[in-house]
Amino acid sequence: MNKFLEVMTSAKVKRGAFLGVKWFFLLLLSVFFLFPIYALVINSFMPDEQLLGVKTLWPNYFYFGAYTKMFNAEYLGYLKNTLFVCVMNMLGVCVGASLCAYGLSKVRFKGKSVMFAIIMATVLLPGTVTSIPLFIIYNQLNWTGTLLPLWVPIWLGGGAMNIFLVRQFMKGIPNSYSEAAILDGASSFHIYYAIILPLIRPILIYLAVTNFFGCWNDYTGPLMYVADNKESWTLSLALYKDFAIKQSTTNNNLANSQMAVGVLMMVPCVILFAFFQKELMEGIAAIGIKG
Amino acid sequence: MAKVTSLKAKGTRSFWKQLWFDYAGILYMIPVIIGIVGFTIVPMLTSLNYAFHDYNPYARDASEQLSNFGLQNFERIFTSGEKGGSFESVMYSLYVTFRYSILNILIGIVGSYMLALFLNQNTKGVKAFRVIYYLPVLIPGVAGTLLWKDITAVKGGYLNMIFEAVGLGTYTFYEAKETVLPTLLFIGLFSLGGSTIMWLAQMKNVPTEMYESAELDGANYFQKLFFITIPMTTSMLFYMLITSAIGGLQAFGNVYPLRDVAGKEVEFIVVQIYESAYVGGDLSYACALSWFLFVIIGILTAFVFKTSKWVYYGEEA
Repeated sequence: MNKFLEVMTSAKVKRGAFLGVKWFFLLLLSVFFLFPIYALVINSFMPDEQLLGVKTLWPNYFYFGAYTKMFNAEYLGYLKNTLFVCVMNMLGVCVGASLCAYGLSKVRFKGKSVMFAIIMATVLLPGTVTSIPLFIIYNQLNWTGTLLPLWVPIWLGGGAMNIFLVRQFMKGIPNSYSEAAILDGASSFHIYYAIILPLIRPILIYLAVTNFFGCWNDYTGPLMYVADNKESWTLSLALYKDFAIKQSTTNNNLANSQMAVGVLMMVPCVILFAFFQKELMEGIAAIGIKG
Repeated sequence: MAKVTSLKAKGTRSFWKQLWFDYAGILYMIPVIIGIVGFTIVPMLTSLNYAFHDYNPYARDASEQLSNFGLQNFERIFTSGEKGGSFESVMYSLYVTFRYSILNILIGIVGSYMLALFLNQNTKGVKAFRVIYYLPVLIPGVAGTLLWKDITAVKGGYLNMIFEAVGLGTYTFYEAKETVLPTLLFIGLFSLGGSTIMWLAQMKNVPTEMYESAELDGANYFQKLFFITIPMTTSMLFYMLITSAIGGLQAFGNVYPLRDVAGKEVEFIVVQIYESAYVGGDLSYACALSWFLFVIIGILTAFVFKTSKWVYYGEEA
């Protein structure tokens, strides 16, 4: 018995037990976090009659109708709109934020710190204050019902938080690079696209990917500005309009169709996240560095 | 070249000359200036103008839509329902908004920090769990709301199915007044992965030498946690407090589709603003209400900034 205790308390066994407990919790938490994903996927394959009758944790058989229903011209049109908005936003945020951050961190001019303070102050402004007048302004510009309100603003500066992040990142690039180029007679814009842009690739990837997540999933923007024109609907707006609203009134649309759209919309995000995990972490780490 | 010349003679030029020397820097600022003026300052002033007028959507001419300059919209917020105001409903919506935000921020920050500590180890395979814990964050917003509505359905929802199977009975979720908040908070737990990633990124910034020297001095796990890890991650805590307070008080997308089941309990302040503007058609009142919210958020952020002495940003470079 004494020998048994001795073995049990030895460092090796203790370490093993610790690892065991750790893996147990890691797996337990995985079950917790995978539960909604499971429900999402399983519901998308649930046959209609089961959704109207008795639902189970595992479908009686796998039904693919919810997916095939979606491949129609209407939804392909929404996909086209969404992709267009996303691509324009991804390009816009990189160009807008990097140009502004470059000016703020690498070019000298009077009033720079005031400019930076004004830009950062806009972070604190709640979106609700400007959302209604923006609607009025877009209406006067005849932009409502078109995709313009969803991608034009980001080209103009790219959002204060993004400017801040790129500026943080640029501060880490030694000035000697650009000084050498100046001596060679390079213009400041030439330095921007030939030297700085390639060096800030990780943060640009971060901006592009997080912006993609944002636009791809956003439905409040489209709900406000393009809801009246079906030709400009994006996928998430269509998901809301076709399934969230109709379902509560006519019960025509069942959970399997809703969830099938959800699954299809989630796939690109998961791929991007898994692929760019390193860049995402680097981008976030820039938040905590002194500005 | 502009850079070098502007360095030499500083502060001795006229405004226009200065502008000529600084043209390169100012050129880079032009897009952001247009953006801030066009999409922030002009909308803010427009919104303020609406808030101090009566709005009539049926006016024939656009110039006739606004009339009666005055404080009437703000008075309505502070007048009780019996006298034609909306004091009670605004206060109730502030109450549910604040209650949800405070609890959600607390649970979110503590929970995600613990999760990050747990994942911040170099054991093989832990990286894969990061992705798994992050997955629920990637569920598209609308689909997520519909999914949770479905999972928490009192009759035939997955959660009640599980509860019944293990003998816990049925839970009322969104269908009883008292259980709406716990349900919202519970669902919030599934997005912990988002903040966890942020903490992990910040924890990586902590120099390992700090831990090594602490270990040499015989520090245990909790001493290292409270004297190194937590102080070294306060800048992220500050960022999260500010952004999650601003975001939480403006919660809209995740609760808007729940109104038909949960009613007044999810009538957060932005839901009220949206409803009065786009359903009720009263843009003036909605603008007044959003300025009311702006003032509250402004006071809160100012308070957090004023008391931010505890934030550590790393050594001055």
